[in-house]
Amino acid sequence: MDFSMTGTKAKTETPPRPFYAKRVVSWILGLPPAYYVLAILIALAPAVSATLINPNYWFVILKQSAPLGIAVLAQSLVMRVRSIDLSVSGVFAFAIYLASSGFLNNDPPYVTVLMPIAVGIAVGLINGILVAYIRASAVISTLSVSAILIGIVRT
Amino acid sequence: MNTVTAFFRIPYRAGAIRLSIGTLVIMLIASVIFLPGFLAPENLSNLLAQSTVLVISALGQTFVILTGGLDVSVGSIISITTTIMTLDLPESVRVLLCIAVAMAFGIANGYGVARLNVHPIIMTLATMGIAQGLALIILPIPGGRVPEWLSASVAGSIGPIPNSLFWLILASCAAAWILYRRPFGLYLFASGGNDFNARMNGVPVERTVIKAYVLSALFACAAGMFLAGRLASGDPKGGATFGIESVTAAALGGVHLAGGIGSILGTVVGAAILGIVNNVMNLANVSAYLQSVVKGLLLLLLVVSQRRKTIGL
Amino acid sequence: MTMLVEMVGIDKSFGATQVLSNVRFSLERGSIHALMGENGAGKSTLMRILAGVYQPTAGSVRLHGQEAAFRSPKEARLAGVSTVFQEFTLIPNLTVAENMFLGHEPRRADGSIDGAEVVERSRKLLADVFPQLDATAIVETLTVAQQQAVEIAKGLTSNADVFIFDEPTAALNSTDVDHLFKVIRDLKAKGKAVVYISHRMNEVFELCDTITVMKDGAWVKTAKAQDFNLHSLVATMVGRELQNFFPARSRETGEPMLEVSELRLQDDGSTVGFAVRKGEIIGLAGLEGQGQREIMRAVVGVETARAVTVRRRQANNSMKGVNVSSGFSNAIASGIGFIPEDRKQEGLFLRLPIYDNIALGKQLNRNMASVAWRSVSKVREVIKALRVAAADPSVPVGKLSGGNQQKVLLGRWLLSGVDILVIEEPTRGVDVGAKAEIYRLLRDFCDRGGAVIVSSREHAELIGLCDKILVVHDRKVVGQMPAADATEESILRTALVSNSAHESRAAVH
Repeated sequence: MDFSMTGTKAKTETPPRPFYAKRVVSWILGLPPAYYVLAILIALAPAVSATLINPNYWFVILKQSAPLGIAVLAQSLVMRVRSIDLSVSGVFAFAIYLASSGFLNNDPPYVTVLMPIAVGIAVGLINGILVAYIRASAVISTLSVSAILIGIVRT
Repeated sequence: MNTVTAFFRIPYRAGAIRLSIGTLVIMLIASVIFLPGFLAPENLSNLLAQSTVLVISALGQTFVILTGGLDVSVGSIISITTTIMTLDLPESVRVLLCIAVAMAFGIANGYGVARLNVHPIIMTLATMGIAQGLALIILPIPGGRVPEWLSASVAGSIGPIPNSLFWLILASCAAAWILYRRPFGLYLFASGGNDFNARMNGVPVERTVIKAYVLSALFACAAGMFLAGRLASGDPKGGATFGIESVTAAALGGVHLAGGIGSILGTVVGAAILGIVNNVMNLANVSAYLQSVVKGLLLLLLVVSQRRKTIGL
Repeated sequence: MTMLVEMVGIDKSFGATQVLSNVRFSLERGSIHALMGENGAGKSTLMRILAGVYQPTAGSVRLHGQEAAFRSPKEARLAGVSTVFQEFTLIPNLTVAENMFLGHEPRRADGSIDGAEVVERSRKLLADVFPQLDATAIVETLTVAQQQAVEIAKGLTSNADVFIFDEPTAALNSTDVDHLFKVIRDLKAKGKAVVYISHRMNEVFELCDTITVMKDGAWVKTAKAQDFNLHSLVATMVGRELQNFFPARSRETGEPMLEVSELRLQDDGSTVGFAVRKGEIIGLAGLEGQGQREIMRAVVGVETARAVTVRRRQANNSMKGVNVSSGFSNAIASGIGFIPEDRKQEGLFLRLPIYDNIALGKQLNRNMASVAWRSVSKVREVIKALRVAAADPSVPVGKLSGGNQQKVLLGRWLLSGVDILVIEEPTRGVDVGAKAEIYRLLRDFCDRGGAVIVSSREHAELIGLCDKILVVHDRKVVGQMPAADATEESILRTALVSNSAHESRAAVH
């Protein structure tokens, strides 16, 4: 593909890129504050509670945070397009119910994995249609879906 | 009274109020016919008492919805009010503290939405969390004792009329007076209709929005006091459902979630409809969780019927 | 006799751009004063200063002989200046009466609004001017003409002495226009002063008694309407030096690449049709807001028209229809690109780096599940070839200058491989050096077998750049001419004469 401009005076040249070190420094300064907060927290945590010096404890924290982390990833996808999804708790509850309530115990194991995923896809589709096509308010519709799901689970 | 004629004079701004009134009438008739226990005096006074908290909080919510926003923190303000009323302080101090706390949250909400341009749902979600946390700190487990005069003013009746009805009428009249007889009301409708044009015409939009959130918080405080009197104790999670239920009630009453259209009568009717739905489900022994499913579906239906132009939040 | 309004020595700058310099303007009582000028002459800015929307950087405004420095539109309105802009400032869910008194409602002693008085006073004010308007009607339910009446009525409440109308007849049919004229003449008879900004010459000559001409932010001439005729007026409005930095026009053009026909913008409008040939740049010229934007956007499907048929040439030399009414993505899929006027809001992603903005060109119209295209070196090539002056492809585009931003947008489309480009205002906010480069880029694009449709407010630019010019007025193509023979005056004359020709109310000397 040839975009060359024929016949203009070469007035504007692309300037050379700055030094590597300078780019690294400006990249560090451009990090979101959350990174710094996390670093400080990890550094100070052992001072607050002696048990945290033991690295096994960190693994416990990691394990406990994993579900939240996955939920945050999901939410960030939705937030990228300027919306919000408050039905995460409902979907969590429903998926946990499906996987652990026992009525799927007679089916082969892959069903126990696939059913919650299918439910998740279905709920996501419903939320998506509500917000994108019907243009309902994202907060209220996802909240209602969550209430419905939690209600179904608890009965 | 002028406010009564105001109800009928501007039906356009009141939204689909005839639909709401019709729905209410049909529901009343259906309940009377199909549920034998409905007309029993204890049930009716129960219904009234249960609905009053809803009506009062929905009235406050109306002011905020008219600006085009939402206030989901009303539930937590109700909860924190009930907990403050059980504190070990002189009784008048407790009341003043409730009002002060409610105003603080209201101003915070209003300032965040109007000046800092935070989306109302995000802002009130944040204050809801903070208020809920504070309520649990003040009173971790439901209990405590509220002042005698409070529980007496809620229970009991003057003659044949139960006290709750007085609370209801007082709150509705106050809300109607604010909305229809003060310039603030007109500015509220203007800010909800088109806030840019309103500003161009000299309407103090930011101040109006902040006042709307403060009013919502104050009405939630009043609803909390009623709840405290009714429970005769504090409950740090007592108001949790009212955040969304007050929105449902207002929407059922013809208040447009996009702002600019709504009425006090509509909100009262909408809260009545929701109150009857609650009462009927209780009478029919529907489990609490199924009830929340039904209410979730109801809200979904309402939200779908009010289409908007923008996708997303 | 003291003038009602006197504006002297008015300067106005927005940042580093000076839009008005040493403008003077006076308004007499009982007159209808037309304010005319080409696009960008500064008429709307001057009137916005009078209406309190802007404050002048220098100069003074006097109303009734006294110094008046309005800091807000509300202050101006209360002082007696009422403006009817093209975008109304009405609140849709309020009644006519409430809108009329918004911001200065009559209050009772306890501070509440006297609703009954509002309605009564509105009824009285509306009675002689707009008797058929119901003071208690909700504004949302009114027609555009009625809403405009409400906007005018707002000026009546503060007993305004000055009424400013900016293109008032754009949305009205002929009965409404007649009624509006009657209202304006009544205002004149009552001793009010009316400023009338419009591009419709027949209206100006029918209605106004004085005409002021502005050009490039400066005052040119003020005289009685009867001292002008159509031709002298056009001549006064135009006249600027052409800057000679355009590339040579194409020597030969090929077969038609894009055919637009049956383009209907309004229900009662006539249809627009034109064709663009391979290697050709055509320009849509005319005064502001005459439909050029709507036409271009309807051709690519960014905005919908009542009806449009677009056909483009395929690789096998047959013409194939493009269904643009179902959206812009169809146009992209068939190789038509679009660069909007407001590149910051509608074209670029200001916070994303140059790389993402340009690479988007390769991601368009692909399957959602396909792997994203990625080639930093290719994008670097584009940046170098276009001479975008930036340190790094990872610099956010919002930090670039206007000219570089425009080049980034161009780079995106060039990378995407479209061969027909529709561009609004190609060099708006672009410095002189970058302008020349952009013209060169567009000409190269055409020389390689592309076709370009361009619209611009600067006719000099269109004359220099294009091969053929279509003159658009009132949502119709009223004329076309080869650019080589065109002058700014001939374009303006084609636009305005066509409109007044069949009205023939222009005073001719």
